[in-house]
Amino acid sequence: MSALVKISEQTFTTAADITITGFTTDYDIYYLNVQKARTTQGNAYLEFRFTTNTPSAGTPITDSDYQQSGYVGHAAFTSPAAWSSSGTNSPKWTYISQNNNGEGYYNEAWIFNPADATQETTMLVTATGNARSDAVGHMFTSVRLTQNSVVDGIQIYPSGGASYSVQEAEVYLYGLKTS
Amino acid sequence: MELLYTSTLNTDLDDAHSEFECNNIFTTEYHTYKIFIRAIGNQSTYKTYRLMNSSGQITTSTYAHDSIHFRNSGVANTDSTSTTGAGFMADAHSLRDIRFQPGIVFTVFNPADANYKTVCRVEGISDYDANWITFESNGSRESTLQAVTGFAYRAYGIGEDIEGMQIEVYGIK
Repeated sequence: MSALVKISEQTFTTAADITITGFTTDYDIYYLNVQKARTTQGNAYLEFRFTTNTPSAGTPITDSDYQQSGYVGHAAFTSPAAWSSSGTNSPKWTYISQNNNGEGYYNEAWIFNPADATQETTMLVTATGNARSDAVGHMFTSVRLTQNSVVDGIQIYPSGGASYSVQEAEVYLYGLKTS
Repeated sequence: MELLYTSTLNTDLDDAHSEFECNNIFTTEYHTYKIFIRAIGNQSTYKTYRLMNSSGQITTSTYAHDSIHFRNSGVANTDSTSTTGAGFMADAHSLRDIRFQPGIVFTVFNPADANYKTVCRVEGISDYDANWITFESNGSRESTLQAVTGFAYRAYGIGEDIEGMQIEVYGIK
């Protein structure tokens, strides 16, 4: 029997964002696997916000209450760049530098205590993908939401503005059995 | 996450191998594979991996990789392409010193889908010296669109050996 219980599986094509809900008190820890992620244009960050169920499910928490710390390695950087921020409302998910067919980004995220209103939500994220024809980018980061909200999901979106969208992504959400 | 494969290579320091192959373990049934490797070598250089195709051959593709490497001298970042080795599995400075079995988590994304380039990720710990350990985080991808069905864990340097290892492969679907 698997300790990871699949909750949902979704495919996104030419979408404004990737919004996944399904965090409940059924599990304390969730595993999110994002595959083949590309944006319609290169040189764009994917950013994210947790979502809450008020006033409706999947409502992004846009307060400047996110802290982030991590590293990103990329062919464009001569040394690993730190992703550190405090009090931001747009923490980084990954950097997309091209959008060629077959060359997406792959992310894994572990989300801790999202639906527990008495605890802040934290998350560990890794990303690896095709930076350009001869290079890859990869990163790892930690995130904390400094408010005790009921988090019911996550919204991942391109940071480049309205002209950017998610060209392709497959998303799998699992709950981790702990007993 | 389901356990798909497990193997143990028991040797001693006089019975060496330069490569350990795990083929025909990736299928389209799983989108992600988690491979846990514990290995010991006999030289102070790197261990690497290559991917294998359905014919049981190591692919001839070029790999690109980015590594972030933490050790006592600080943090280093390396970007390169290679046809002889993909991402570094471990910075095996002291893998011959069997004070502990260095552990590696090797993640392979969507390998059996011929329409996407296979992307891999490594997080590893190894022994540096009596006072220091290292941490390696590596991302890589194969340059060719093709289905990948296995991998080879390889000694990087000439004359280097793999003295013993344990592997467990899990699939996520």
